[in-house]
Amino acid sequence: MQEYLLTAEHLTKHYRVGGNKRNPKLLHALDDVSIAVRPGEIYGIVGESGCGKSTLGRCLLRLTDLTDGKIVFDGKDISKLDRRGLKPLRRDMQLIFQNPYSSFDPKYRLGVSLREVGRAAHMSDDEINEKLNTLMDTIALPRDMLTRSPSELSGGQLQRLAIARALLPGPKFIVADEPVSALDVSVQAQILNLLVDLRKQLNMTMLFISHEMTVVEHLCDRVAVMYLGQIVENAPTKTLFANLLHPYTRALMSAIPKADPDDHSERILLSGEIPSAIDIPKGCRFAGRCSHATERCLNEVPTMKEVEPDHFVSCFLY
Amino acid sequence: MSAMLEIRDLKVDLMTQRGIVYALQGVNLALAKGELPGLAGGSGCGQALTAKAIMRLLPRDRSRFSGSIRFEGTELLDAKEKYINKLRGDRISMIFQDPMVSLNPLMTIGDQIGEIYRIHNHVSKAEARKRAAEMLELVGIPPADKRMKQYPFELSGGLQQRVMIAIACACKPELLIADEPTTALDVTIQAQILDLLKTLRKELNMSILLITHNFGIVAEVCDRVSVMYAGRVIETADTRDIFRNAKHPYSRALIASIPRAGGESEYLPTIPGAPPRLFERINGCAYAPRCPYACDVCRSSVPETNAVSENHTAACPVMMNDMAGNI
Ligand SMILES: Nc1ncnc2c1ncn2[C@@H]1O[C@H](COP(=O)(O)OP(=O)(O)O)[C@@H](O)[C@H]1O
Ligand code: SF4
Ligand SMILES: [Mg+2]
Repeated sequence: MQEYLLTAEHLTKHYRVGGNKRNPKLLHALDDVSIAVRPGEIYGIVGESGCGKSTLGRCLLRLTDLTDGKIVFDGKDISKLDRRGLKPLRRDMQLIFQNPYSSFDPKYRLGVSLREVGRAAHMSDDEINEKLNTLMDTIALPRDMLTRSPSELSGGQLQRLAIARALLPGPKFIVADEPVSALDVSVQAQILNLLVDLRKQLNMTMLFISHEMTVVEHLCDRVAVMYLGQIVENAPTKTLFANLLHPYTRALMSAIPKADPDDHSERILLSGEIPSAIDIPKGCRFAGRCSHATERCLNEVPTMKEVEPDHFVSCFLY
Repeated sequence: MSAMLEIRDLKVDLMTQRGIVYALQGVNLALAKGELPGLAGGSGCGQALTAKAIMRLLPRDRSRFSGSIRFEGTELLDAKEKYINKLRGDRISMIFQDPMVSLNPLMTIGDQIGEIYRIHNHVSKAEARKRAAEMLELVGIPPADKRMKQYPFELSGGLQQRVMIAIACACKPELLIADEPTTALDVTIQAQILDLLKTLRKELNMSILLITHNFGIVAEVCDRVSVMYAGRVIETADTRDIFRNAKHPYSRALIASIPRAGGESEYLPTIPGAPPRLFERINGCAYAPRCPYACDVCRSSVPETNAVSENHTAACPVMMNDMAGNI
């Protein structure tokens, strides 16, 4: 078996947000991002809003063109495929969104929305029905929910169905973009448990996007931390959380309000906000908010370095 | 401890297109000067509605009230509109999850804050500007002279929230009700705003009622917390007690379902089922259908709120009598 199901190298995505052809004003949504996802792995992407998580997800699924970089999926270079070339891949790659309420067309019963995904993947009606029956058991919802319309269901139930819809064509790779962020904690826990089950049963490979460190720590095998369009730290979950290295990762972890009244550990309070993705600071992108920043950080760009086995970080401290 | 705000058996019925919703079914809550209690629970359990009832923000023609909300001894439920208008902003203020709800998109930041002083304190334009600038410094958005001229849309979510806090605190209210003020913000910005609220509480010597669904926030900033379920307060305790010694099974389940840093188990505890829709008054414990300890007592009448210890009350007959053993 190949070591990686998906590799992305030097992924870059710029959006033109103004200026003119000769002198465009560019928004750097993603700059030189590389990741490699093993089969059966849940790969976590964590970072604050606007850091490029969704853009990365959409690039990997080739739902958008790349400015630069290369993506190899299942042994095939998909970076330059056009719409037609991508069509056969659609069945193999699925996306789950954050907002379960807007994931389904309110005009249709849920069964209709789900079956459509099956048909688009050229599954026969029998195949679809059979698969749907098993999936409804997997997500622990009664089958008659499929005859209901989205407005009759709760957010948690809809998110289960969104997961079932993504699984229906039997994809090799799923991008779940903040699938639990819009849910209450108790419902969030149900969905996380479901994902744990699915990983066991289906050995699925997933890119799991979240802005919550505790959630990725709980669920993911490997985690990459993003800041302003780049990955700043990347390691297997246990390794990373045992030894947070990048000052931003540490601040991100420290800023989470700890649900423990006896946790009096010193908080790192970051000053300021994430800089604009249009006027990218020169040097380290985090330097403006980093308490360790030196002259060098302001002028030179740090690169990824393997600080301990399989633990990568991009910071001059190491 | 004498209460500054005291809510007793507050019931609110809302007339909706789908019928009457018995949204609050008996809320009891008290808050003393300078305190920072939390009001927690799942979404739709009535925290925000309680806040709106205090602020008298619910449409009178489509809601019915009973019980009592007393602020410094004065009953608010039937107070004159004129009195409430004076109270709002001056002595009690509120901030929301989405700052744009209360910010005027067409007015500069400086004018919006200054206006408060013009209306409430009848000061000159120059004086209003001066005070607005001071307020901006206080909420941590210098340089004030530049910010004063900006419009809300030119600011990030975190800065908008600071402006809203500046407006809410402009008249140095005795009570600030903060309804999920950081829910829409990133964690590093959330930490800044929570820090600001803690500072303002001290600087302005004000009480803050913090509505949040996030028990991490409760642990970090609140002195104590009331937990709501289905339109009632089901438990009130000092923060430490709610984490270490919660009595109500719903409080326990909520806290247990939080993914924690360094958490070991693969599966998170969950709560089966969903909260009830409040189309009727629930005559019994509303949590009973989801509760592993529920027995006949729970279903037959609304559980009384009883004292567990000095600052700790809970509404669960099973846990209070330890009928469930030492769970
Ligand atoms: N279609 C687009 N056009 C222009 N800018 C975009 C577009 N999509 C995303 N961006 C910008 O790219 C950056 C990264 O966005 P996104 O990937 O959505 O971040 P995240 O998912 O981490 O919140 C942001 O600055 C965002 O405003
Ligand atoms: S490279 Fe410098 S500024 Fe950037 S995170 Fe490391 S220490 Fe901080
Ligand atoms: Mg996103």
